[in-house]
Amino acid sequence: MSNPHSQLCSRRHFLQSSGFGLGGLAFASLLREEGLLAAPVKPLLGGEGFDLKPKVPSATGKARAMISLFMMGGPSQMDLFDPKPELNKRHGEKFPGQVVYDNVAQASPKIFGCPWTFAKSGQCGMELSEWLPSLQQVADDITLIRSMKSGVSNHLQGMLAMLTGRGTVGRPTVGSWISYALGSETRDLPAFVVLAHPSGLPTFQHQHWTNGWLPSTYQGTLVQAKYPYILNLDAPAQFAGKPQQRQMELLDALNQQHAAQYPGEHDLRARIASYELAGRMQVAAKEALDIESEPEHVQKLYGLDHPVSADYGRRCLIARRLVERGVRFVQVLNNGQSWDHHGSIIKALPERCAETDRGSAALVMDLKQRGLLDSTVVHWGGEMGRLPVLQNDGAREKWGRDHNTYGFSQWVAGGGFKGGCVYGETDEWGHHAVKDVVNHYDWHATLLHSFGFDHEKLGFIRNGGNRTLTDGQGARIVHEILA
Amino acid sequence: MHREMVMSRTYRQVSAHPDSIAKDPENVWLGRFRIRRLDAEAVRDSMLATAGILQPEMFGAPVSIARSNEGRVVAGVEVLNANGDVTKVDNTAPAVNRRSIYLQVRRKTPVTVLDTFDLPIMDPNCEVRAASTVAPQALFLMNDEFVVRVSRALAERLRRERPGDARAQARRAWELTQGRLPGAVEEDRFLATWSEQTEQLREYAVKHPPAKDAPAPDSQLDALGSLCQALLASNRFLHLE
Repeated sequence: MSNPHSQLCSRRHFLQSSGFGLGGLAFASLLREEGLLAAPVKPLLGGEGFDLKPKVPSATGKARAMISLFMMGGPSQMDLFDPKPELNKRHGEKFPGQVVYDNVAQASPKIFGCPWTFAKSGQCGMELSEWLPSLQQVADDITLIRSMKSGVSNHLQGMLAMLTGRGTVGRPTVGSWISYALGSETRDLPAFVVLAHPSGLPTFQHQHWTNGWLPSTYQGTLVQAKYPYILNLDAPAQFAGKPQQRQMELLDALNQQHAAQYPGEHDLRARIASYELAGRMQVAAKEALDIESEPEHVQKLYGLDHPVSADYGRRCLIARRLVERGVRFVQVLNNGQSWDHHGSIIKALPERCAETDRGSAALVMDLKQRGLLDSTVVHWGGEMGRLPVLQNDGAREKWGRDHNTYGFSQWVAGGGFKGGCVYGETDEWGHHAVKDVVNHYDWHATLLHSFGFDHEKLGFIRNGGNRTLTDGQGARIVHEILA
Repeated sequence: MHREMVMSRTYRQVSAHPDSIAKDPENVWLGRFRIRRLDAEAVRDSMLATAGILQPEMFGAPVSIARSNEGRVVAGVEVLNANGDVTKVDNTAPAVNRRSIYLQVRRKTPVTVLDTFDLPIMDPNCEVRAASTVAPQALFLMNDEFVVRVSRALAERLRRERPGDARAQARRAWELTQGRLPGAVEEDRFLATWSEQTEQLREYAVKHPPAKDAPAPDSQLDALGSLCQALLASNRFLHLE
C-alpha cells in the first residue's frame, strides 16, 4: 500500500508553492491581510488545515461560479424538452419495447403521448414545451442536453449520482468540490449556499449539500426561506446589542492573552478572526438576502409580482445577488420531490412550470445583462426523467409517468457552455439515450472542465488514493457543448 | 504502574515551556504537545460537565433527537400538532444532557452542536477527523440556545457552590473554565462587567416583561451566564494544550 503521507506532502507542497498552504487556517486570507502571518512550515501530522482563499484553476476555464436549479423528483423530458411525434401518434397502443418500472403495481404497457404542444424557440429553433414560455425566450443562450443517463433509479440514489458522482451516500456534492477547488471570492459570505424551499428541508436533507469526506469548510450553508434564515445569525433577544458586545470583549481579552502565550499557533488566531468574520457575515448575509432593494422591473422579471412564481423567483434573485457578491456555488431547491409525477401529471406539470419557469429564465436574462453569464454556470435539471408509458391507467386526470434514468433532459447556460445548442438524442419514445449519451459523470467532467479543472486530477487524498468526483468511471468531456 | 507513569519526569513536564515556545513558536520540531481543538463530542460534553449538568448515566437506550423550528437538531422530543408539524422541542428530560455518544445518530439529521464542530460523517466510514475553524462555529458559540442554556447552568452552579460571594464565584468560574485563577485586573474587570451586564438585562426585562406563567427573570444570574458563555467559548476552554 502506498504511503498516504507522501501523497499528502506533494499536495501540501503544491499548496505552499501556491501561497496559501497555511496549516490549520480556515481564513488564511483574512489573517494575511491583517498581517498576522509569516509563512509557517509544519510537519504533516494529520488534521491539516483547509481554507477558502480564492484559488487558481490548473487550466483556463470560463466558469467562476455556479447556480444549480435542482429539480428534485424527475421532470418529464418528453413533456418539457424532448418532443416525440411517434410517441404522440401511437398514444394508447401497447409499448413495443421493454420497460423497467419502479412501481410495478401501477404499471401499464400503454404508450402515453405528450398531451401538450412544443414551440420552436429562438433563432436556433429549439423545441420547448408550451409550459416554458420564459425559457423559450432564452433558448439561444442555453444548451439543452437530451441524452442524460444515470442508470441509477430511486430518488436518493439518482440525486447522489447527479450531485456526487455515484449513487452511494457519503461522497461530496458538486458544490463542495467547486468550493474546495476554487475557494471563495468573498470574505463575508459562505462559499457554498443552499436556498431551501419554505416548506423546510428537502426530502434528503443535508445529502443535498454534504461535503462528504471533504473538510467541513466546504459544506453548503443552509439558508432557510423563513426567519432566521441562517442558524444563529442573530443574538438571543436579551443579549442583542451591548450585552453581546461586552461578552465579545471578555472573550477577545481571554483569547488574546491565550494566543500571546502561543505566538506560533495559527489556529488560535484563526478562531479569533472567525469571530470578526461572523460579525461581518451578520451584516453581509442580511444585505445579500434583502431583495426589497431590487428595482421593481427586476423583481417582476423574476416573477415576484405573481404569487405562484414569487417564491421560486425570490430564491433565483437571491442566488444572483449571492453570486454577484462572490459566492461560488448556490444550490436552489424545489419543494420536496415536486416533479415526481407518478400520477396526475396533466394537472401537476403545468403547475410546477408556472412556479419555476419565470425565475429560472430570468436568471439567464439577468446574468447576461449584467455581464455575469459568461462566468456563471446556470444548471436546470433533476435526478431522472420519466417513462413513455402510463402509470395509473385509469381516469385521465390520474395519469402519470414512472421513473426513467436511461434517458432524460437538462439544460445549462453560461460559464462557457454554448447557447442555442441541442445535444444528444433519445430513442423514438424518449426512453433511452441513444445518440451522444451524456452519463452523469460525463456531465461532471465537462462541468469541472468549464471551471478549468481536470476531473481526473482534482481530487482529495483518502484511504491512500486520490478520490475524485468522477471516481474512475471513464468520464469524457463533452467538448461539443462548450463554446 | 499508573503511579510510576504519573511520577515520571516526562509526564510531569509542562508542555508549553517558554524556551521551547521562544525557539520554535510554530512547533516545527515537536518540542511540545501540539495544541488541538477538542473534537465535536468533547466540546459538547465538556461544556455540560463544566456546567455541572452532564448526566453520567451509562448504557441504555439512546437519547432521541429532534428538529426545532429554527432548523436546529437537538437532543429532545418533538412535540407535534395535528398536522404532524413540529411545534416545539421538549428538552426538559435530564437525559438530554447525557454524553454525546448516547445521542441518537440519524444520517439525515446530524445534531447541530456536533455537526458544527466537525462530527465525522460516518457513511460509509471516517478515516481521519478534520478540525475546521469557520464562522458558523463562532456564530454557534455566540448565539446558539445550547451554549446559552449551558452557560446559565454554569452560573447556577457557581451560585450554588459559592453562595453570596461574587468574587468567589468569579474565581470559581475561572478555575473551572480556564484552569487558573483570574489576575487581579481580570477579576475586577469581570465583576464590573457583570454589574453592568446585570443592569442592561434588568432594563431589558422591564421593557420586555416575561409571560405571566414564566418564572421571574433573574438578571444577575443571566448576566453571570452571559459572561460564563464567553469563558466557555474561549480558546483555552476549546483547546487541548
